[in-house]
Amino acid sequence: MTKSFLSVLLIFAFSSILYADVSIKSESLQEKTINKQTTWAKATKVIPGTKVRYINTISNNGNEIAQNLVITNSIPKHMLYVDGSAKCTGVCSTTYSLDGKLFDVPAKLFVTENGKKRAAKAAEYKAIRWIVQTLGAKQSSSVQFDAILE
Amino acid sequence: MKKILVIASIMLLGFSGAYAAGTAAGTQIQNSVTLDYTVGSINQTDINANDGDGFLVDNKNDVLVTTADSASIKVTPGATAQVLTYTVKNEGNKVQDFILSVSDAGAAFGLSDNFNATSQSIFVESGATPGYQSGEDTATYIDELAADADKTVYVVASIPASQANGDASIITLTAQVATGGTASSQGSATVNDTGADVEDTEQIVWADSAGETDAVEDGKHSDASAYEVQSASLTVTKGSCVIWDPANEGTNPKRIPGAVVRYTIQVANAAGAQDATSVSASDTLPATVTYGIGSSGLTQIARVTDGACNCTTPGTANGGNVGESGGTVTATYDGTISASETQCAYFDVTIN
Repeated sequence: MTKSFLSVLLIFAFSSILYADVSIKSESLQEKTINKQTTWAKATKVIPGTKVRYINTISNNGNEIAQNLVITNSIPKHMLYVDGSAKCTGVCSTTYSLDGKLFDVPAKLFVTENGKKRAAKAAEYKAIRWIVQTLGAKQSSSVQFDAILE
Repeated sequence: MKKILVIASIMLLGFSGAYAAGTAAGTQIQNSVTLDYTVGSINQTDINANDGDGFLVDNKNDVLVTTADSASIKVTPGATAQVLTYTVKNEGNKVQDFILSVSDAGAAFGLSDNFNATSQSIFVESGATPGYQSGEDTATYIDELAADADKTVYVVASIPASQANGDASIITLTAQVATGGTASSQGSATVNDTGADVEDTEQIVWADSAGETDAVEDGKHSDASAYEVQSASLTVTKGSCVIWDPANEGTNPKRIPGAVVRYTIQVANAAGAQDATSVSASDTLPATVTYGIGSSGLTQIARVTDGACNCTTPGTANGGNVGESGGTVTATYDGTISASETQCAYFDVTIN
């Protein structure tokens, strides 16, 4: 009994030393031609129809592995998600939501319109969720998606 | 992982949420993201992040000019205040003014331009009465046109009297995007902001397509319509037949002194021509004949009929009439002689 209590204490002590200092950074970019080279730079000149790329970078500055990293990005108002544009640099699972609460794969997302059920369109997604299984110490990774200003 | 079937009802209106012309200029768009994770099976506090304050939606300048005329406007030589109709639409994302101009350029309805309509003016439909009204539609530029809205614009011009059937005058209307925001005052033409991008500043971006006589992304758009001259094209044919002589009377009469001769004056308007109105013909009789039936005892014919002439058997009189005064016969044809229509005037004379 005393022994198991001690071990619990130990774990707490252990975790306070081995820590995962995880941070996340979000950027909005657009395609720009600079010196005849097309590149993605900070979005500053955006009109209806412009495609914006959102990149969320996660970094683990600690010395413990972080697990089950769930990154949830509500698609900003007036932005329409571009089908198939959600990606991640490593291994991840991606799901989408029509209401910001329930997430699933595109094949399981339906919309009821005029009493008829149909597959949801990409532009109707309200949020995207990426699940990255692990992010090692001193590692960083990113997830991204494109959206068009309506 | 347990699969959840997600079904959401989305109302179409709630979903579209913005104009077809797009999100309004000046709207701030910010992204926010949440990260949830565990370390050693212990859930950690969620972390939120934003893309700074995001970006500001810039001012898209986009205009579309289209003629509302489905075919050339048919005009007659010398006509004034002839109207061509165009529609100017604000396809940008902000209230704008539009500066209007016309040019004798462009192509329309497969016509070849060979004259310029004169006294060209531009007027914007006031909305009071549909169609051009000279007293009402007096604005010469488009004031404060909302995103996605459109205005009807008229080009009003005169046709020189010297123009002939088939002549065409092609006119292109150009609308230039101008700064809006001040009612009853024409803003100045916008300038495309091609310099360095400025964060958090509403910049002007020309996004129009190429028009009739203007280039892509030049802050303008244009389209052409045309006047096509259509005058009446009348053909006059004179004919005669002998209907009575003193010797043979009605049977194979000859042109001998005392004989009655019937004259016909046929007027035909060509296919595709304009209507002809107030048509009359006059014929000075030679000294060798006298107007009327003389002593023949016939019933005198002096009438205008619809259709081609039939000298010996005139048809029923229409509203026209034939009269004589001082040896000159004047035939006044009935009402309007439209394209492909024919009328015939008849009168009888006696050979002296």
